[in-house]
Amino acid sequence: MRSDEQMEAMETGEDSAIVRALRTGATPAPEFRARLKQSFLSEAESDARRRRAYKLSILGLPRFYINLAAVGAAAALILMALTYSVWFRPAHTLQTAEEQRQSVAVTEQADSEPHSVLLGPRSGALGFAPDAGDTADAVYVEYSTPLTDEVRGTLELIAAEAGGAVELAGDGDSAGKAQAIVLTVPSDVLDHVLGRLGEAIGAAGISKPVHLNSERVTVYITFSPD
Amino acid sequence: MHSDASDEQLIQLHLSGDPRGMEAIYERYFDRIYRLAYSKLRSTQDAEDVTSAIFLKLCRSLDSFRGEAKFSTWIYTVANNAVMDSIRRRRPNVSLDADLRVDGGDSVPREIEDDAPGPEDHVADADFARYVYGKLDALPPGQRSVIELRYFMELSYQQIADQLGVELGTVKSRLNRAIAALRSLVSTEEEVKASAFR
Repeated sequence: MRSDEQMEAMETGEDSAIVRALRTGATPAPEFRARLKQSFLSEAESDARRRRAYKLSILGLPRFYINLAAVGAAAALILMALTYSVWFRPAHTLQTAEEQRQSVAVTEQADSEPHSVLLGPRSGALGFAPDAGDTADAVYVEYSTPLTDEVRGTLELIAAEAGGAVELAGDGDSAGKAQAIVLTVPSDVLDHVLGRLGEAIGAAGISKPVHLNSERVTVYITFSPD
Repeated sequence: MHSDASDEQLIQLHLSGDPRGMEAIYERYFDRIYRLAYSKLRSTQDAEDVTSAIFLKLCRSLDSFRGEAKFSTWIYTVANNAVMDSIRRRRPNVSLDADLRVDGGDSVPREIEDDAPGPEDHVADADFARYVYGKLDALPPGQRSVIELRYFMELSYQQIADQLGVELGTVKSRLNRAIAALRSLVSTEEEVKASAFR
């Protein structure tokens, strides 16, 4: 009884010597077979190891997503580095420090409100840094004595020692109206300046500075004779 | 160990990081690839070179195996491309039919030394097989493809039909015609002579 395969072979003439020659005609040398097998299996082992390593992942995530996250993080860092000047730059100010200081001083003179809302970061900042570019920390010193020429001379001396400047703000006079002096000094000598004020003029009410980390500090000194 | 597993299962085994799948693939396909290469190159050295190249690149090429086709047809395509590349690389720039140019501008007919065994030489199986392999080039491409897929790659009729995109009956008739054509190319006398030595 012939099998279907044999019947099919007879139909197609596959039982001829030609077919046997085709099936068995090209026989590779056993040495070649063994040599290639060794190389191939070595290659397969190496490839399988590579694939195992590729499948391993941190936190159980597929390696692809880890690579994607790494590339994304690197791109973000590069982008931040390139746009550092934009993101970490304080807002562009429309007023110079001098103009603003003058404005604040005049406002304070005309207004009896506490000095709590002066010189904060202005709206419109582009990034995360405080708005310290063109503004300065402010300290408010209040004396209940009049501003005399002697006191003004002392203030000019203290400002000169600290490498700062002093100027009169407002139109007050010694007849009972408040007078203000604006002292601008480097922030690293602020404590020294406040100490010198205490020594030279006497104790006064000092408000805490608004910290903007500016290089210079503006000291507003108000003389309000009772 | 994995002799019962399908090709696709063996490939998946390897892709999951277990190299044992490829050992079974090697045992299954080494002879087939070599026969295919030899049938086209008809040089033991060239067939070995191409077979080596195919297998040594096989693991890395697996990334391009999407599983849409059967592995047997995929590797046939890979092997065929490798063999054709080899033939292109070694093919001389001048036609073998062109006459030789000699000094003085005259030309003489090219005499090509044919080291393939002639009918009178194939008194043993191996020689007869080489003689038959030598006649494959005379077949139309469609018939040759069926021969390659059936006898070298050892595909079933249905797999051949799927690979070539033809009906099952077409495969059978094409195979029948191919064998008949080979038989007519190889003289009946020589075939009988070869059979007598078997």
